[in-house]
Amino acid sequence: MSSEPQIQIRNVSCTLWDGQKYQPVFGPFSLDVFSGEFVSLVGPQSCGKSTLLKAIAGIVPVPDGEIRFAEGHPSRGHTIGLVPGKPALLPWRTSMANILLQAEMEGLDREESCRRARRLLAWFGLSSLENRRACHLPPGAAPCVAICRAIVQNPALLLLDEPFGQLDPLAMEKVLDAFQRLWMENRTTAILCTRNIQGAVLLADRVAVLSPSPGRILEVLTVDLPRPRRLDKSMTPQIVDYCNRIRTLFRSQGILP
Amino acid sequence: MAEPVMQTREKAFPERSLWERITARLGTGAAILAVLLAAWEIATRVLRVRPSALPSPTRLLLELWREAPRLADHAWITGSAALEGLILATSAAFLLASLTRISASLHRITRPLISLAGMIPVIALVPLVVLWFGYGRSPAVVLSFIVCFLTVLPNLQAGMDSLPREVADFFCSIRASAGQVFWKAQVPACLPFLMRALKVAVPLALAGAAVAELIGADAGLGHLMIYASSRADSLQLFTALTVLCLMAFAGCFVLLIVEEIWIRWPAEPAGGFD
Repeated sequence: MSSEPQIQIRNVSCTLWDGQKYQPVFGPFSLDVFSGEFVSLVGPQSCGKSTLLKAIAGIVPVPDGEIRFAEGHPSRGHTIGLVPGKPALLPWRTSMANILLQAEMEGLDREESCRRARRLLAWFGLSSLENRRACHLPPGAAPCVAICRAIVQNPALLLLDEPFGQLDPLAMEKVLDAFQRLWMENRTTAILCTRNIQGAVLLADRVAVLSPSPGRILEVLTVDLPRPRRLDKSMTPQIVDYCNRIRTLFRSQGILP
Repeated sequence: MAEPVMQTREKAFPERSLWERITARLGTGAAILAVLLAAWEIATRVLRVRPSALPSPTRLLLELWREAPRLADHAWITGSAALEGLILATSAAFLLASLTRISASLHRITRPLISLAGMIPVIALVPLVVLWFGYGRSPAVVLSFIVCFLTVLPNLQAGMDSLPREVADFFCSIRASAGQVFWKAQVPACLPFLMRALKVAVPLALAGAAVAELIGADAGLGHLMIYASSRADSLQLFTALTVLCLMAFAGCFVLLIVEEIWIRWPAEPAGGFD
């Protein structure tokens, strides 16, 4: 990781009009994300995690504060890889066509993109579903295809908004492990929004714990565990320790009993 | 390479063949229709219903066979007018739906007008249409156009508006242009809605053309029906009606085939899950 932050979030806050008055959604919020770092934002529902992620992606404007990028704002599409909360695949397209959507729209090298897409599908064991339409994918496959779509062009920044939320616990554990090992190959700067405490600790270098709405950072924990992280005999006690520290913070806010 | 995460089993999710899918969709309806026709046949024989009042299915079939060339000529006149109206209406509806997608003001202006137009009984427009467009083919085309346009437009608008927020966010994140979002997302998203609308519009188009021919033409199935009615010829009346129904069924069957081959995604894009 370099010493200069790739993303600087400075006093960012957001309010939304609820029909009667402006309600604070999150903030003020300040955080630095370094190049090659994996940061998890873990917090309860409606604390503003997704809105912050969209603000970083440039989907929603930032009314207050500033988000600075070290290399200028990612204006070209393939520098940001977004995995939305719901997979948001285009159901009329096959898995492969969904993954290649960005390449198609930006006129990138199709052969190279196909090669990378096939490798990613094989990584998640979805090679046989390459030509299956997204609306006919089996349960659990869509989030993996959405992840492949986000990372196929090697983005400079990966934004994940609760990408594993629709998986059952067993599938989630397998996909988390595969995603972690895939991320370790390139170490793309990544920001994950999640309500899954264990998933946040498994993946992240740092975990920012957020308060209920309006979300503010309660604490930023540095997860000092070797990679790859697994839920096995050697590592589980340490992961549990980090999870308990996060739970303690949530208890202090009344989120957990 | 790491071991595969998800062992997908093709056999657990087999794809049905086109024939199986069509049979599944039509099988029950076809069976019920067969039962109704059989009951009709039996009722006319057992109750000794006068053929002039209600001909049996076998008599209808014989009459269809006997009068096939003449019926085909009239069917072509009605069918071609209905098809022309349907194509024009679908094109106009697509154009207006696209424009209202771009311009919120246009959408606000046209929505109440379209809703108001939909409340007018179409059959009440026939004399006016004949007055404006004269006798012959034009009233049939115009009436078909009106009924189809008012059916297809709201469905196309609903389809273009059905794009989930997450899909819109994804396109925004990859800096897609408005044109790319329109052609790659909104147009395909509205196709299931269009198919749904066309399955209603096809019979309406035929009905509209036939209704216009009742008073505004000297050929076509509508004219044949009113002529048969004036002569109290119920067999010819039922025959013309049967041809009209068969044409509507054929049109919807073609749409079903098109849907099963090319447009096999749900009307509301979900993201790949059931």
